[in-house]
Amino acid sequence: MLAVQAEGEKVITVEGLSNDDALTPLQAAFRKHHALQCGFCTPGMVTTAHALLSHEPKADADRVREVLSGNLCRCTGYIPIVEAVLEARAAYADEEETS
Amino acid sequence: MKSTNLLIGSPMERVEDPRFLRGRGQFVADVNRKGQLHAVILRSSVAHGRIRRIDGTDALNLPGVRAVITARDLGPNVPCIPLRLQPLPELEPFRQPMLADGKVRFVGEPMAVVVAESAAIAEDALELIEVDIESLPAVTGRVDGAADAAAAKAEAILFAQSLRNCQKN
Repeated sequence: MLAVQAEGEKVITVEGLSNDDALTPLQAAFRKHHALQCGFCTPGMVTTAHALLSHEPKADADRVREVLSGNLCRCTGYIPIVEAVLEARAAYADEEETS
Repeated sequence: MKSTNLLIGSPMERVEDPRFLRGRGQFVADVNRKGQLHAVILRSSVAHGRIRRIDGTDALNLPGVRAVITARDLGPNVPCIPLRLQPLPELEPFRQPMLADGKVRFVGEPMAVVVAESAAIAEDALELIEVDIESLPAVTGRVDGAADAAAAKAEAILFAQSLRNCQKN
């Protein structure tokens, strides 16, 4: 995406997902499921998953795979990433209920 | 006797994960030192061919380009890349040169390296390198390769000094 395409929009970066040193439930799920190794693709995977779950906290495995398909990972084989995102759905569902 | 420990057999959380997950990882592309130069590699677009000519003059004249390196710059005997894991003597004749030396033997084989003050300049300079390659028959299988080599005589032989493309048929 070009910067001009984001004009007027709110941008969340991987650095901005949490304000303190703690991991968000999504980031913690990545760590728990070994959804990263070298870490190069991780910011893209985490922010993409965050955008998905913010809008679709009930996304199923096929939907998660479809949305993440624009990101390449050479380490994990993707399965742990999908597992991590699926587990993080609970946190986003809770968020939806409380807001 | 069963002994306990904290590491072996236990699921461990990786110490590097927090920084990667919060966007604080550092990769080679993030390194930016004063006076740093960038190298880009010109690669072969054909599977097998004879390099008639590589001319880096225009590339070298582009402002910001520091060097254009080809096999010619590596001395009379271009060093070959050693086989580190399985240095079998019968594989010695098939080692690939550091930079294509007169011939290319696979798509993507490095033919030249451009060193410049920025990656963008190096990539622009890459386009200015003039390469003239005469395509040769491509070898696409081990056994077929040997048969093709016999049929086409020297044309399909990847390494002239070995007279064949594999040791055993």
